[in-house]
Amino acid sequence: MSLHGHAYLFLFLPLTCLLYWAAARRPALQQAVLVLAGLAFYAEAGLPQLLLLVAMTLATWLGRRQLGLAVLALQLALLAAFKLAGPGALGIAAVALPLGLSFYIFNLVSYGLDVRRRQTAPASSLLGLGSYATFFPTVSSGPLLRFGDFRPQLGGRTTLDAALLETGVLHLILGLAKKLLVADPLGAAIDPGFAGYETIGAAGAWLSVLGYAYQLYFDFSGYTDIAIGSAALLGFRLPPNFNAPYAALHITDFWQRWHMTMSQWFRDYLFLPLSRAMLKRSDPERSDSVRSTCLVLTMIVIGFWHGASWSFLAWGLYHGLLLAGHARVRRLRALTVPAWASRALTFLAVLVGWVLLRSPSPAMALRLWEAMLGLHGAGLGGLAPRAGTLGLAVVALAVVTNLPVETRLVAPGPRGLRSWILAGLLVLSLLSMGGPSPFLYFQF
Amino acid sequence: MDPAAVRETLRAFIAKTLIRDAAYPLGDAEPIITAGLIDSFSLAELAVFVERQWGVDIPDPELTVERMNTLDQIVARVLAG
Repeated sequence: MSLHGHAYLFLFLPLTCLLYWAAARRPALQQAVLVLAGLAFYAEAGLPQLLLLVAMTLATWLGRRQLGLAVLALQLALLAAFKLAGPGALGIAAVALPLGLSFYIFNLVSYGLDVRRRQTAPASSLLGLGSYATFFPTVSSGPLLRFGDFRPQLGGRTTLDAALLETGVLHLILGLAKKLLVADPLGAAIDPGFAGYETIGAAGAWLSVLGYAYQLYFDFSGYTDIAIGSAALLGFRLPPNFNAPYAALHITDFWQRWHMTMSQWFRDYLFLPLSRAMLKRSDPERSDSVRSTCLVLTMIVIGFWHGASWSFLAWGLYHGLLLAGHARVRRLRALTVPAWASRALTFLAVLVGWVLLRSPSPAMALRLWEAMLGLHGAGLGGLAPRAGTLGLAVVALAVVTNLPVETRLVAPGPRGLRSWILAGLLVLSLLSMGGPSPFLYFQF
Repeated sequence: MDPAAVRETLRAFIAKTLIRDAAYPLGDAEPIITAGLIDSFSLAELAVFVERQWGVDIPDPELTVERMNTLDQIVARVLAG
């Protein structure tokens, strides 16, 4: 079920909220409502995928005592197998990736690890664990949740406070506007550029890649806002997933602002344990090398998490090298760059990486990079008919993503002009609904 | 363990090895993570150093900004064993 479609916004979400709050003061019943809603939401993905979600949840529940590690290994192996067999993977037959597999497996794995490390107590009931595993606002694309943060909010509230309701509604409006008014039209506008990449010149390549950068951000953060808004209507506060990533001062800062819950997951469960293990076995004088190795390995795994294709792995490697390079430069304290230049350089580095993510083949990525360097002329290619509008849109989005526009729109407090802006965004979004295109991150 | 000796050993290690400036005047309550002086990897280095120096194992989940942001917090954690 699409989070920006009529069925979800006007039927599923209101009905679920109604049933959930009607069951207030009865936590078990509220959890049952959440589980049933989660299963109903997910059922549209198909019975086999639904059964897989249920099986993984049950395996986690049954393996919470003796078989914990075996269950964790099984879940990660299953995820890896689907990634290796997924569309565009390394030469293996394409198998459709179950909806949200990367996200709900990571939630269940973090639960298993946190329980093993005594960071959180195990779920006291299957309903509690099921509510977490199938939580419909996040099951398809995150944000990734920690059970320790989720459980205290489970069935603990009997009334929805006004501030959370306001947060929910504002995030829903903002998320819809990001997806329907920016990401989708932008995606449609730049598609001809990528479709005709073999004939594109510098202007066309830059416009296409810039457009893709903003499409990806507004699509994924738009989804996240709708997820945060939906959860808030049920009384849940979800962790933030984005914090103005295109205003990052350096590449490390970018990864602290982009898909934050995923970065934190990899930091806690891979990067830190790997770093400690390698540091223990190495000469303290070689810590810089250990850091670089761990950063590159972690980012390659993050690339693999997105998919087992060459482009995701190359993208992970590229960011790993950037992070390792930045760590070296920062430790040497050899370079002082003005903030504006640092922001611009970081954005440029991220843009170069997005080319990898958008290109199904190495040849396409190479051709786009060549075009960006001006090696194939200055032509607009397939973007020529709409280049002016697209150029203006890209400039406007550059301004919007470098100013605290989003945070001000959803901040609590007196509204005034903001109310009119939000009302306008809502009306325009509602008028744009009808043919929902999937969120880009659903493919992961 | 002598708390004063632990504090000064940690102060010297953080300044010299993690911040890479042995002369850095690190304050007891000065934030070192939120101020950007050290990062996640430095926390791993710190944990390995503490284990080698005093045999105290600080589990990964405790290596967070909430628990290890100041010298005071780190000293208290090491002394807790």
